[in-house]
Amino acid sequence: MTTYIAKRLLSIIPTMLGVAILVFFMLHMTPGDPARAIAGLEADAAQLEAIRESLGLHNPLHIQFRDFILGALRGDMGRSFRTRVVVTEEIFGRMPATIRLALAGMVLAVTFGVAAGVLAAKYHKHIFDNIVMVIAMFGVSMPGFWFGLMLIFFFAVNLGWLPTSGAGTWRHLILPSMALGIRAAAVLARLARSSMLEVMKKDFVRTARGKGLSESVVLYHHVLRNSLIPVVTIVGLQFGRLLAGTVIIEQVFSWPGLGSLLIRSLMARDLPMVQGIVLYMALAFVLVNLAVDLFYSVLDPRIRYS
Amino acid sequence: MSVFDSRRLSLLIAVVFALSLAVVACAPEEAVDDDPIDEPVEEEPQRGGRLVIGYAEEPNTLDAHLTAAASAYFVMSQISDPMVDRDPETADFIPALAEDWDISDDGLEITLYLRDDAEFHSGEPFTAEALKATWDRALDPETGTVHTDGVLGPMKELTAVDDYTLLIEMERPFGPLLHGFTMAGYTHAIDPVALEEHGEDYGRNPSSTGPYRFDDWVSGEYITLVRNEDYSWPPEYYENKGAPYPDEVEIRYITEDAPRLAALEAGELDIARVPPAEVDMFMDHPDFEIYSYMTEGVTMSVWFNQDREPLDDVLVRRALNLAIEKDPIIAAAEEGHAIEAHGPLPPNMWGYWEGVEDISYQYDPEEAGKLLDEAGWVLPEDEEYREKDGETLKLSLYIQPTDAWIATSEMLQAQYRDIGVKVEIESFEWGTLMEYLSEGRHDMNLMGYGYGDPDWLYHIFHSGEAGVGVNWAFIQDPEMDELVEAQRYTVDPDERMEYAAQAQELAVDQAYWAPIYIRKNYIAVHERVQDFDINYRGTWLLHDVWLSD
Amino acid sequence: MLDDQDRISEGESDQPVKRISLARQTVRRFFRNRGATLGLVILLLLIATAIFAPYLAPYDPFEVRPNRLEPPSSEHLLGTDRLGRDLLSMLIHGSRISLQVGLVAVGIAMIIGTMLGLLAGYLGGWVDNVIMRFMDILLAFPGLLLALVIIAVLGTGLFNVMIAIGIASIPTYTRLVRGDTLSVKENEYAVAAHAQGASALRIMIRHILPNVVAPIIVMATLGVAGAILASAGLSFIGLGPSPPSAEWGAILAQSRVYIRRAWWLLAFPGMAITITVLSINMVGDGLRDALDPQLKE
Repeated sequence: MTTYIAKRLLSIIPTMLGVAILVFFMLHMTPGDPARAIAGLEADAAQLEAIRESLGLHNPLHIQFRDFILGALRGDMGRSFRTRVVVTEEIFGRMPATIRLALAGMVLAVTFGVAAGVLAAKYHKHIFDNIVMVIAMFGVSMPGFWFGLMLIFFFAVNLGWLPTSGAGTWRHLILPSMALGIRAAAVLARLARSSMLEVMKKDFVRTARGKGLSESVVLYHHVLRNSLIPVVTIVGLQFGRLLAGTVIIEQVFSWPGLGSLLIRSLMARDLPMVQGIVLYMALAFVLVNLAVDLFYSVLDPRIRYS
Repeated sequence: MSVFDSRRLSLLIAVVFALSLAVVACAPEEAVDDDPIDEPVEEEPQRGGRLVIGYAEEPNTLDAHLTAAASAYFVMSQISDPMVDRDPETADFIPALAEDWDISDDGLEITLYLRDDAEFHSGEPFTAEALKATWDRALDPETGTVHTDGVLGPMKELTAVDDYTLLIEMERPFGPLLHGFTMAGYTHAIDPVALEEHGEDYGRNPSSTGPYRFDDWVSGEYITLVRNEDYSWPPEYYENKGAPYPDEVEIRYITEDAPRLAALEAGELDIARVPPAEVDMFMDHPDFEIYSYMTEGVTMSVWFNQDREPLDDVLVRRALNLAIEKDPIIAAAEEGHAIEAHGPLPPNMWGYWEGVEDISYQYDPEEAGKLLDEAGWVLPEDEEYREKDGETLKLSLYIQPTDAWIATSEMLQAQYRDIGVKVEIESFEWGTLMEYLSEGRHDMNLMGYGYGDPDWLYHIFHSGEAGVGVNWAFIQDPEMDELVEAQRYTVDPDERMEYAAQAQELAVDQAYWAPIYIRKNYIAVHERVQDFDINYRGTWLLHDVWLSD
Repeated sequence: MLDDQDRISEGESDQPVKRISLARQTVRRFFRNRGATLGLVILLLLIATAIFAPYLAPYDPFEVRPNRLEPPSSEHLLGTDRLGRDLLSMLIHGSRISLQVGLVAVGIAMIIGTMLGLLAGYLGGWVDNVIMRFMDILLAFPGLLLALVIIAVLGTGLFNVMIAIGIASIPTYTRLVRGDTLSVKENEYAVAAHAQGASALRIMIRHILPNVVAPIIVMATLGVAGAILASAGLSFIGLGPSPPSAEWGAILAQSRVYIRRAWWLLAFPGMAITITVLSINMVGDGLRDALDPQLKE
């Protein structure tokens, strides 16, 4: 197990290196000279050159890339072109808000999604099952940002019940995390249900029933545990989507996280900031997937890693 | 490579936009909604409390020399003081940190006499030496500042004659200089101690002489300022001669309109701007008083790239002016909360020439059609668009994707279609847009500005600014160059005014661009905020403000 | 948001589908599924709407009229926007854009992804390694993030949005096709063809591709739904087409300021997106169940 973890952790390195290479070269292909973007009003050719020098833009691309990678390894992603703040400081300042939002969305999605899916399977072919599945189908098909706008419309504008902006208290979290988590909840509900139904058909469940165990023991002890395995594998992927989903949801709710900063920086061609945010988001995603894989192995003892 | 540099542009334009919020003028007829439910009986102001202001845009930095954002200007104005101020009623220049000033006859030497009792937030005394250090920093090319050309002008040498006397020697006389000194957000003195201490991070830890001290900045959420207890040098037009009444000011950043207004209604904000679509709803709101003021600039206009055919033809440009019906555009883009613009400057700016109202183009699509016929662009039978030598009259219109610009561009497209001109709208985010405009890729573009001085004419019309500055219409007219240079390098106000008037007349006559409207801005102020006011140009007067329970 | 690999993973099939014998059964199974049938009917109606948009729309969608922000009425069934344009007509024309975005984006992803997957699976070795490591890198970008970076490079606009979503969805197809190719490769007819001296290209196209078509179709169908959602989101944050555009996400973006005054401007475009995506999802689910009978309970 330890070697497996070590192996997996090591495998992150080439992937993240690849991500860094890709992001760096793609962004440096974008039109526009960053030196111009920060040069002074009176800047002449010599000054522009001086700024390129100070930013390292003067150097050939491969040297710039080396500096970027070496810096990134030390946790130094340079300073933002737009705000002149140290990129990592700004990112760490904003990251908690995004993580809070993504986690809240995920908790909502897992709780309601899995519960709805399990109950739907339990009441398979009843009206309840149908209702849940229809709602889930809508949840999968609805744009999250639109759902967010509708939430603002009903709860905040018309009813005035909940705050719609800022990140102060848990009440601030409710609407944005609902908008963010709805789709993941729907996906998980559908998956949990079909997984439950599949497991219910398996021999060991019949055996358990045959032994005269009560239905709820069978359901929650035998079926649930085994059906959750595919659900867990999907959680990682869904978390990635939630993380990326914050980019749009944060805009809708003026949530002070990385997503809104990313859009702002993208619009201003603030390359160091965009690079930094994308790298950190990718890293978070990769780590969550790793954690899910490990959790998966705990859940399913049949899986052995060498 | 050309010397084009987008910073310069962004700088200018931003200056320009900054002012549209920070320095704005009151619409005389509409002024203030003077109908408070309970006219406050002279109550004794009480100290304490936190004034919460809702703002859409967050500043990029609070280093005065590195930003031209309106949002930054606003915050920096609260923590600093101007050298010179303007009387809120008469607009005359009045003393601020500079108690007096001399300008030599040739306009090349300006002497500022500073007051001797002001202090920086660090406790360091405010002196001529500190001011010199600040402006030297601005003038140093290494700093890469954005304000030298438009605000500080061609300064050559600064000398601290004694502790409280600063001598400024200019390369050339610079008409807009005193105006620049009124812009506290850009030309205030930077606290030398804070600059030394924070170095590259000064922009996140600004310090100056103003009524509030910078306290905290939580990125994406808010900036807080606390009362400067030692403050005793407010502008003379305030009742309050000492430190401000509220303990704290919080500026909370909420980008989206809907959440910001929800926060306002929920009582979480004391002051916030109300977007045009919501003005009517807040007008009758019992908890708020609505103030309105006019932008000191032309908020929306179409510029014609005269480097390209057929816009080099004055007939075509006049036709494109005549084809614009401004009222429906104002309705679509600003919900009717704007007035028609007639020339390149707004009526509330010093230097505005009223004559533009008589010579400006009135909506007349028939006349526009005739002019286009005359220019050789005729409408073939059964065609929607005009042609000349087998070529369709098709023009690109470059915009950035904000609500008002989108609505205006769509309306223009429809109105130009009526006279047989095909418009293709292309939208880009701001940085890219500026770059493309400077390269002259466009036929037409939308643009808006706010500025406090007719020197703006120089920036948009001077041939030297084409490709490097904001002369995105690529106007190359020696007569115009002469006029805008004359207004810029003349110190006598009456002479400047005369040159500016001639430049405005020429601009309208040559149809260099088509002005569309000047926006009215609205802010909602919660009833617990007492003694708030707005001056004649729309600057928020906060120093007398106190909060009732 | 970009793809639906989670849901497709339920339907991945290890066995090659015996096409001819199964085709009729598949169709029958599909139509026995009420949800899928309903989805198909809605989808066909939407496609018809898109094709005949100019004839169906009661007004010119971009014609500006003085009656701004009118609520739904008999004259304007879904009301008018801030320029007095008929919302229903805009939505009808918008269906063209959304379907087009979905098809083009998925087309890009499917063609490139399938080719890479075939190459990786069939050739194996270093080709496989290079391709799959690259896919790992692309997959390390969560959701829309890769598309955002691509748009940062290409610039905004509808076409760039399609390309960005397309590229970002490539890895799902590559993985799927590679997996299936690996299992099909060992089948007797592929081996036999190889023994007869058929070229690698020929084997891939004639013997392997037909066997992976079914899961690709399912994934592509669901992918169209995902691409429509993604493009609406990108348009909403201002990265979509230049105005005037009837793109549904763009209409929503411009309607935000009217959230208190003109609910119809927010409600209907969102419903249009939801219904479209919903119908495609239902068809996709139905296809998956029909093609893989084991899953059908």
